Amino acid sequence: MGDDFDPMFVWYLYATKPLTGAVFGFLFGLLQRLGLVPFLAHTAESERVGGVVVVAALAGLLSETVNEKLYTAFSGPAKQ
Amino acid sequence: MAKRMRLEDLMMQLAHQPTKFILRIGDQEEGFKWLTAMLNSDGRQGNVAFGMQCDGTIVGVGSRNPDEILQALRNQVQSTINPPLSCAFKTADCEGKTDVVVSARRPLHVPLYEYDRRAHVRKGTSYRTLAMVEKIALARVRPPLGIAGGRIFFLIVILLCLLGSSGLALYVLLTMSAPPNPPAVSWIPGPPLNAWWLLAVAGGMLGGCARGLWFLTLDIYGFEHRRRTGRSSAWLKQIYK
Repeated sequence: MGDDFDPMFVWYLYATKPLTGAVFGFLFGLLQRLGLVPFLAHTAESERVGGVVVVAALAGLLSETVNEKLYTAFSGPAKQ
Repeated sequence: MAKRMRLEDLMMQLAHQPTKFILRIGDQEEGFKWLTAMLNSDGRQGNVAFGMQCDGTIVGVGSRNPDEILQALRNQVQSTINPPLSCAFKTADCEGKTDVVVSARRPLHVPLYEYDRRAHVRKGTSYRTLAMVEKIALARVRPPLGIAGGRIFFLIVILLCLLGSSGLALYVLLTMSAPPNPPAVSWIPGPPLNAWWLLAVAGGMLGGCARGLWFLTLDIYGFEHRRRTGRSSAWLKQIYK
């Protein structure tokens, strides 16, 4: 965001970050449960639950980066 | 202290910004009227190049010591431009001749600059003096420009939203990690232990809140820095690079 622009004009975008984080957390938690994200996948159930939380939290933290990567993966590289 | 630059770099920089070329250093009054006129226009920035032609040919600012000239220019800015203007001075040398470029930017909270109690505004390839009515109208319109109305209210709303979401996520994570029997507090309903999806949603929400708080802090710092100083924060530029 340019620093000429008051971030309060788009205050609602910050409020949506927990929601996008929750969506990405759910998706990556599901992938971890299905064994597609190998982080702590082959461990005891109690540790595996911890793995779900860690993977989901990282997905939420990096949600916009993940979103961009997924968009590029499905739509191809951006045209110049 | 003036920044010494290569002529090519200086010309490259001036090519992308509004610039007035003044041949003689003696025409300081005209130069600073132009500077305030450029600052008062919507672009909010301007450069005045003394001792230089628009094709990059250096005429030079005379035989005087460049430091003396810079000091004279600083004094002129301080004594004639109101409110106080922070300018950057750059010099470039070519074939023994020196030119001086004065650059400035109008911060968002300054509605207009006056030169010798008169405000000018750029109009195409010239400038005109603003009437008192126009100055008042500009001063009325400009302070809110770029600043959202009720920003403190929205800031509190966002902070409450992000902190509330963080608290909710932490509550879910902590209750699910606590032993189900007996519950720590009887009236708080605990989610079932095998609800992995709830853990994932809470974890993701916590991550999203952390991201939201981090970028909110950075964006507000960047905006306030620009508003107060008229320049972008170098530290923030490094982070967003």
